[in-house]
Amino acid sequence: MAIISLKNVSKIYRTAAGEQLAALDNVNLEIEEGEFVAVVGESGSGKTTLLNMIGGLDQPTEGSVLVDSHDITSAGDRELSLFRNRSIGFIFQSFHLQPLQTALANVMVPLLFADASWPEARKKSETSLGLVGLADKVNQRANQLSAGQCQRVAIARAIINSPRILLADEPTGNLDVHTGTDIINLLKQINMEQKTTVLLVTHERDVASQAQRMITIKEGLIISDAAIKAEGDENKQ
Amino acid sequence: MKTSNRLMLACEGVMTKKVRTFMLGIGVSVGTAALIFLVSLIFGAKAYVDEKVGGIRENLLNVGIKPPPPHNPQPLDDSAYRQLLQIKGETGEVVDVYRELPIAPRPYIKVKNQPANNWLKVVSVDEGLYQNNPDNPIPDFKYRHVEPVDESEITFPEADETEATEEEKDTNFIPVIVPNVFVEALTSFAGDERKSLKQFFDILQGQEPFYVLVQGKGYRCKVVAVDNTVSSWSIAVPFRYGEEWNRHQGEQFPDYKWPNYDRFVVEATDIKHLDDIKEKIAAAGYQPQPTEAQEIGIAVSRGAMYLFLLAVTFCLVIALVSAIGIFNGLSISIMEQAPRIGILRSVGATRTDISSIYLFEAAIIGIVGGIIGLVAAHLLMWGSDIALKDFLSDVTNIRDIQTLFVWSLPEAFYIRTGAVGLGVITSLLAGVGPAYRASCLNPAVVLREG
Repeated sequence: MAIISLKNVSKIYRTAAGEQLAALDNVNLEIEEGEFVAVVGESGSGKTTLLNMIGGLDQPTEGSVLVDSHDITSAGDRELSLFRNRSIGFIFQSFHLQPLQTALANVMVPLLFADASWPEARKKSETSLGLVGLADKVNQRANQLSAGQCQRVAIARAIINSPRILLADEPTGNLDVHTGTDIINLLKQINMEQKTTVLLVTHERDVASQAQRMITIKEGLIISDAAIKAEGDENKQ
Repeated sequence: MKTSNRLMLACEGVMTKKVRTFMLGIGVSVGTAALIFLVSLIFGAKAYVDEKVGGIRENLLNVGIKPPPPHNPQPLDDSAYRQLLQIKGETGEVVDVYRELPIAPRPYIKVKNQPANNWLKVVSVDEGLYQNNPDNPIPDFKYRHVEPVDESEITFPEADETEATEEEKDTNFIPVIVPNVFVEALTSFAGDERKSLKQFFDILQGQEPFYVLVQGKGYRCKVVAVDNTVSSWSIAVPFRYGEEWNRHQGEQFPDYKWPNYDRFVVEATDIKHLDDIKEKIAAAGYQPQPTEAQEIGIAVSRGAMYLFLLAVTFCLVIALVSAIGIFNGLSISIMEQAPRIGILRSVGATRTDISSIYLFEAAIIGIVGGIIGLVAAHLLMWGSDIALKDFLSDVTNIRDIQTLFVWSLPEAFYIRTGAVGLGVITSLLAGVGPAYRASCLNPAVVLREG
């Protein structure tokens, strides 16, 4: 059963000159629970807009976005916020951490909106940081961490509420190849172990090829949507 | 989201920009300190003046001649006195009526080392007016026979020639009461007048006698009290002297038309009945007026109120400037922190959460600024109190000022909490706009642009 379903979704921006620009044009898409999907495309093709629609950060101009059979396009602010807090984990290219805060304090933020108690929040944050391999960096400030470690903290923050969907927007964009590979492996691990649906936006084909399914977007249209055969599968054949 | 969590995120936001928070708080501090300082000074100084003016007997009412036209003036004579006493009988609201008789022609007053002059008016007053004062009864103010001396035989022995014990036994004087505004006026002189001021002080404190000259005879007098019911530039003696002295003068000037009473003082049981009594006195054809002390009290209150309004206006201007500063500061802060707002929204913050967090930030600025202002105001008041007391002591000879500011509870508490509260409210009001704008930011846009 599809956990994410986009039906005839369009997003039209109005430029400063008054022209209409379609970031997404009548997109139809279904993603099954537990899938690891990569969305590729050039800059400005509509990848991030697609991600924001699914995450409830942005509203489509037309069409509907169903997550777990619930139409989030008709949800109010409070309902959407609760949805983002409980069901969605966001990972961004530029991490968006508070530089003067510790890794623990950064990871804890979603729990503040879930009304968790302080001891519970601390315990869950430490566990989450342990899952991403940063158990020894709990009290380190974000500005004292490397880029790879920062992205791990961001991932720990994204998974702290055990969301059903992880939305990663260019998570390796600011990382070197080696660190980027580590991060993708971490996302794959989360996908495998926690059965979390992962939607990865990237413009790097190498990174996208790590997913189970690749969707290519161009000028707001899905131009291809295909499963990726794993290396092991090819060898078997 | 729990309020404590909102507060924690607000503190986090404030701590990431400490210098800006401090600078924004300075505006609130200045306003708070200025408000506390000015209001404390105004009310403190008023309290001092009120204390010096003394317990104003608000239940007293002056009764004078109703000015013509169109009214036919009723003379203030014995029949008027009886009529006012009857008003007392009718209403049951008047305790007593006291008479004030001018001595005419105006007697000369002889003070040691000074030429005799008649610049002070001498009146005789019913003793009961002072003896029945519940706040400050003056039992010494009563008639006693004093043998006058010829003007040419008046002497003023030097202070050191008078034994203290003899001074204590000295009862050969007419008791005199002077108005306290008169004392204040005298004490405000300074500089080269110090020597004569010292003499005035000695006279006012009853340490030095003086003489009232009536028909070439000198009556030895001493000030026994200072009271606010005595008119400015007057001195009051017990009523019977007025009758005696006017009788002596009458022998000298048989054709002279002697004046009636200067005024009556009506004492009401309760201030609440004064308006009713005023109406009845006016209906009887006389002019009811507040006493001079009441007028001074009203003037002081009115002056204090004008100063208070001026101070409030001044502080409101500061508050407005502070509010504009906080508005701008928070607006810039929100623009700078837009990605943070985006991330908070992405992890589950509602619009209400975001606006609350920024309102808390504004409140923190207000509270921090208010507390700094409170401390600054106390330091400023402490220093100014010492400096102002020294200054006034040097230039006016007033040495009995305890403080010119409000330090005592509960007034001090109200002024300080009011000022800090105003600072916090100003900050909150200034924060409403930016907080609303923050809540309206599109998280997708700010995350993309951040």
